[in-house]
Amino acid sequence: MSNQGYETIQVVRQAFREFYYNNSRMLETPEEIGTREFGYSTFNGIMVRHLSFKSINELYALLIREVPSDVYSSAAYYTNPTLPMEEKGLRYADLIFDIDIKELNPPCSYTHDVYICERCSNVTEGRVCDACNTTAKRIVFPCDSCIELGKREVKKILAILEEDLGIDRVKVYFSGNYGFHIHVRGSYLNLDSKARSEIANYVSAKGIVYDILFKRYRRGKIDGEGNERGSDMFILKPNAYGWAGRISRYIIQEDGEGRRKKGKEKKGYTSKRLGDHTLYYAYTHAVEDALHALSVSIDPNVTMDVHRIFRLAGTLNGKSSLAKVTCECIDSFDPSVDACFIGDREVYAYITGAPRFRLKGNTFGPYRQEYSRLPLYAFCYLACKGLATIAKS
Amino acid sequence: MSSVIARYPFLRSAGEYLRLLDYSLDEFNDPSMSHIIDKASKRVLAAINGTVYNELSDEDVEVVSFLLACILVRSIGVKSLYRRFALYEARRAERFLLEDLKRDRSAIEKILGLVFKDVFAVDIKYIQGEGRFIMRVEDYLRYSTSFHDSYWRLTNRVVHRGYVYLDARDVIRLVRDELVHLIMKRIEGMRMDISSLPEPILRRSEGLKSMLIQDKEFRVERLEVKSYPPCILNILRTLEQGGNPSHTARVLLATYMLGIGKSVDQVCELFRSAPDYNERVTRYQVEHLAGLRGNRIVYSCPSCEKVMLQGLCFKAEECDGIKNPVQFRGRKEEGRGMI
Repeated sequence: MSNQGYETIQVVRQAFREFYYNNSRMLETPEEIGTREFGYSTFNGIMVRHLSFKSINELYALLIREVPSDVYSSAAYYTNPTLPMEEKGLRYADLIFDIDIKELNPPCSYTHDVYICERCSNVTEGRVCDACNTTAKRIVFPCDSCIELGKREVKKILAILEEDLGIDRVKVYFSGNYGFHIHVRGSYLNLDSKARSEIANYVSAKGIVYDILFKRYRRGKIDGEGNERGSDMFILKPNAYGWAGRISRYIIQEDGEGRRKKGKEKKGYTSKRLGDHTLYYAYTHAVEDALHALSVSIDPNVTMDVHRIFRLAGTLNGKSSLAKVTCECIDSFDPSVDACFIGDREVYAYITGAPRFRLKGNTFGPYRQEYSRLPLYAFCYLACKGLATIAKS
Repeated sequence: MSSVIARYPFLRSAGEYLRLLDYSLDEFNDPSMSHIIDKASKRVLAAINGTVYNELSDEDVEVVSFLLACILVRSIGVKSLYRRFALYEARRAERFLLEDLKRDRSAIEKILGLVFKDVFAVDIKYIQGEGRFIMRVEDYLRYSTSFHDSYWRLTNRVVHRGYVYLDARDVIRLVRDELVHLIMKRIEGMRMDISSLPEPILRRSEGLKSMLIQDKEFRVERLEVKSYPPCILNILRTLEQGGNPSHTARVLLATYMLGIGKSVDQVCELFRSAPDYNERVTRYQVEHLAGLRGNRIVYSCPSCEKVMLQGLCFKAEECDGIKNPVQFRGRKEEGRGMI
């Protein structure tokens, strides 16, 4: 946003100021606000950290005065939040998970994402700028199916958190751009980074050793030398808790479906009598399939890092102008409507390039190096992505 | 209650029992008390020899001899012995715990309350029908993250509604290190004037000290003679301080020691103080590295370059010009010859 030109920045900044002015109630007060570290970045790309506020009103005053592009608050609770990191005195920290839709590699992304050259601001189709031959930056335009992918991961993680880790107090947020944040409330606060890494690995099923989880054994006859001959077996445990049960149930269900569809859609492992016992490699294959479907794709570094600052709920995302908001009902949540709060007045803009996108129920684009009249929210959306500038009518 | 404190003399209730007995150190000048001094020194000797002291008598003798053994260890004043003694006393308690956690429900719950809740502040519940134990995930992670084995990773455990399901062995293994720390802290926290100890205790302390120096020549050598490269010294110090070196660090240490001509027994001995030490597994792995098992390949010590890539290099001035940690020893000896 910092290289967008003074006038464009001023229009977006004013739109952000109006948002904060009109939607002060949306701003979420972090628990024990006085112990949190706050930070923000300006539209000029300057990052300010190590701030502390006694009340949400103090923070609100800063938002109106400075109008930052992004506002963050720490997951951690500190004794002295304003001191340098090593002197802050970490007390404990919220457990947070970050689901980044980009990491899910949506198959539709090539149809809507664009690449912009950071050197010449040229919008290109591929990763390399056609004009100056340098690597271009990917700009995401999440479509409905991208958001559905993210929602699917959210549902998976919520089930694991509740069933396995006993966590039922969670808040799900749309990040304001291309992902979801899951904040755990009131439990698992005192974990160190290593323990958080274990939790992150648990939800993403990393480090599963099949032989430990499914107790491998050999079925067969004992030969003359006393060695067991025969195939290695897995024992599926559909009634077990945790990953062993979850994977077993998935395999059995898939196997059943595979049998029903026999002849039409043959699965690799359905013909191996999975409900009973079968060859080790067939099970390995089946478990890998199950893990692919059941594990949650999260950014483990976000969960592990207790000193990280996170976008504050109720503030706008400088990469999209959409707000980080709570998803009360994940199924019906539509970020293009539920997270778009910028005003409707029209502006005249030059758009370098953009695919078709939807905001507040209206469809815009596609655009390719053209002038157009746009509602302010659509302009801000494109300007924040570096794809539109204010033009003189 | 009495048999519990005999088995677990580090319990808070054992301390209260000791106060009731109202012993004074001067009483050990009386020859009739020599059996307790004998028992205490046997406890220490067992630790020096790397074995678990198995005898179990009545609570008076057990509680007092444990305290006296701690006094002996403190008076010997060799720091590495603090940990070693604590480790073998913890192993002894582990043996009793394993028996006790297989008894009836009320006995199990009593142990869970007295040992795990009171001493370690960890709430473990027993599920009678299944014979398993459950521990809160947060508590489990507090202990398990220091173990390297995949067996202890949360993903490989049965986890349900915020609890991890464990068997008796797992429960005991999880708290072993805490128990070692607890006993070590007791020893370190003892404030006493060694010269004012009764003569029989002092005599026994001197005897044990001389034994320690003679019998454990290898251990003393590796701590006092700085003829090891800094990477190896760092791993040895970690082990000595009760740390848990990574798998790659252990391989480096073992291959280095085998490379400079130490025997498999001597190398195994180095890992005794590792928190997850298992004699059978350690021996198998060291023998594997020495080419005595498996594919019969003798593994050589990794090069300095590889050690650096593994993040285990602590290069010092003396390391200049060597390409493998094994060369360090020769360099030192050459240097000494020149002077």
